[in-house]
Amino acid sequence: MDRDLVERARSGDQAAFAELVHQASDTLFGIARRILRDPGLAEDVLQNALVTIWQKLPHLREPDRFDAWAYRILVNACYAAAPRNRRWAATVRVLPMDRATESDDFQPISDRDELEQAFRKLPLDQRAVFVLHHHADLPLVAVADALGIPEGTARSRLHYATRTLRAAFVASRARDDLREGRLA
Amino acid sequence: MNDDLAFERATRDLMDEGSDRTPAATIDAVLLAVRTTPQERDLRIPWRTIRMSTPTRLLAATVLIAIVGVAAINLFGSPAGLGVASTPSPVSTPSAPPTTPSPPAASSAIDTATWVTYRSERYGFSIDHPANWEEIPADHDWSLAADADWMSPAHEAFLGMPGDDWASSGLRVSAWSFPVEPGTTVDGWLEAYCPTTSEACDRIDELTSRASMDGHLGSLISFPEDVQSFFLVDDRIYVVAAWQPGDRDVLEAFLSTMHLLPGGPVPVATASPPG
Repeated sequence: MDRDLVERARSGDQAAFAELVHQASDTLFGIARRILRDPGLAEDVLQNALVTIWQKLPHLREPDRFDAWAYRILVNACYAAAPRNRRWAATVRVLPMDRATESDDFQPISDRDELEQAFRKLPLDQRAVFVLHHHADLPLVAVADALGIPEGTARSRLHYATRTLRAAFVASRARDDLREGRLA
Repeated sequence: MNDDLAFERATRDLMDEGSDRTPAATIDAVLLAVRTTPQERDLRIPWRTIRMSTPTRLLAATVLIAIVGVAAINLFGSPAGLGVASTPSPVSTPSAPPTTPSPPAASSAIDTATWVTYRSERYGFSIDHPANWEEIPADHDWSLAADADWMSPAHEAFLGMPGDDWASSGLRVSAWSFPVEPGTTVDGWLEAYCPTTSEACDRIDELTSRASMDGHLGSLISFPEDVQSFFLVDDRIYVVAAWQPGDRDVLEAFLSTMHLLPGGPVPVATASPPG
């Protein structure tokens, strides 16, 4: 992120903050949407997080750390939003698929649905690590920094998340193999 | 395609799907809110980070009284019968401070009158929180090795909800305690803890100010990442933290409501082992 922009926004320049929002919002929205698996809820969370970022910017002493600092506020906001909506787990919308047309058969769709279901069951802290690592492409040390946790904890959360998703994937494949065997 | 490649592709699809374009209405709402939302400024920090010794406080109080006295005489004129010798003397300070420093009151600008009390038998304290906040009880005893994590389930945690104009929704406040070896100091213990929670450990002195909890003096550290306080009482360290930067007022409000239980912590069965 542009250091000068962050410093101007930190000193109260609303135009600079507007530019900052335009530059950062898509990334933050993408992270929130993937963690929460609900675009509508992600919009609300992003809105709250960006206003919090504006309020708290004067406390950011190192403008170069803006991205990690903003991720932490965003994940905080995700964490707050998820349990507040008690019907959240039951009403999440399945995200639209852009890559369905790439599939030659139904296998990837089946895998994806299984992974989607498994991902929704992950604790939020594991989702956050998984998304920051696999979607935002942050190395684990940067994920740990952004979330304010030791690197070992980030590694552990990523391990558990991956293990859960892989188990769901393997189970999906086994069911498909069984179905194909019966049909043959 | 083998299973590893297929799994990688499936997870990549899971992460790549959908559009990340922020709806224009969301950005408009944020920018509209920003126009009327003031930023938080640390106006009090320079004052609070100055550590004054008791003699310095005495001297400052005396000088202040002398200045006020001279100003009053200049303003209202000398009363009849009083000469120059009536200039207020430092000895006439109305109330001399006690010889031993007393803990500063854990006062707060945030009204805690309507807060509800949470009692932690596990950690041996009670603490109040806003009635609309969510309680997240600790599920095992805290340890530095396993739980140095701002979202640790070993914390007695409280989650901010919308509606408070003094705290952002989603703010997490945690409190916990743990025994230490006799002779351990907070500063000594912080040498091991600080690197797990902040990158500003080399500036910890300038970030630290005094705080009090239930009559006990401790340290409040305004890390760049969050605000945490530490109190050593009877070979046990009590920690209360607000996990967002700059939320010192919120932390002090919580501290002002905290009391140690007379019997100390009570062993509690652990629901699940720490992960």
